[in-house]
Amino acid sequence: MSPLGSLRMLSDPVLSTSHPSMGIVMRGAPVATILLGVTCGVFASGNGMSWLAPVLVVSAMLAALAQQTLP
Amino acid sequence: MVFVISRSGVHRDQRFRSWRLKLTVFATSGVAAGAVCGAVLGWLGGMLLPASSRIGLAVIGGLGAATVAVTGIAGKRVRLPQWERETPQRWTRGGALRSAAFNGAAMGSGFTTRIGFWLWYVVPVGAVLSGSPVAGAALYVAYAATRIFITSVLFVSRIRLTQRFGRSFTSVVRTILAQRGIADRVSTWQLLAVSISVLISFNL
Repeated sequence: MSPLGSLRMLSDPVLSTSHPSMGIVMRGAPVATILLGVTCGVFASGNGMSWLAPVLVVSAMLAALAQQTLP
Repeated sequence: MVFVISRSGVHRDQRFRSWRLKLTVFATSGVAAGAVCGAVLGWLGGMLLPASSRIGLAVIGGLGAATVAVTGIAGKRVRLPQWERETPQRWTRGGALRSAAFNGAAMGSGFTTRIGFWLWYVVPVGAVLSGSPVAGAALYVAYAATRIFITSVLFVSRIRLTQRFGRSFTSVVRTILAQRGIADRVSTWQLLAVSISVLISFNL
């Protein structure tokens, strides 16, 4: 689903005045970093591999990022 | 869903609560769908494929991914096997929370709608070849959580984005959609990096 589609799905046009929620980005960055590390660790330990795990996990995240450009 | 929420007779505080609830349902459903898909694929890989077969398939997959990536870098697009469709519109008529749950699950699992990029296949293939439900779930959740997180941030920060760029949010979103070419190039190079990493890790 595109960002526009997601927005339409989630949006409340009546409420669209202000949400002081931009801070979620700042709070989300360290949380995302920790999650990335934990995910890499879990994947590496469950799969018996070490350095390949972050490559695969980052690839999965990049795939998700790229899909935001899908119509 | 928009019509369900914005209809008259809904109190302001309830509307405010509802978008949070929808977002929670959407995110939970998406991450859960990713976890289930990854765990099932990892379990199937472990059950059906012995370790030696998984290594062999990883090498074959790495060579295939390298071929696709190099072809893409050379400017020729290799047709992507995918279910070429968008989110069913009928979901929006099934109620706000149901729609949020279905959309979240579709985004978290990834394969029920247009995939768009070869790099996506690293997720399910990696989950299968991991041979472990935990590892498969971890990899798939990384994908699902990222997709859900980006969408959620776009949603909650849409007003700031609008103010920052001085345009309507729809226009901002169109700008994001216009970055398809960059996303294509980045994902193709990353696919090449993954394939080389896999081949190196198995001493090829």
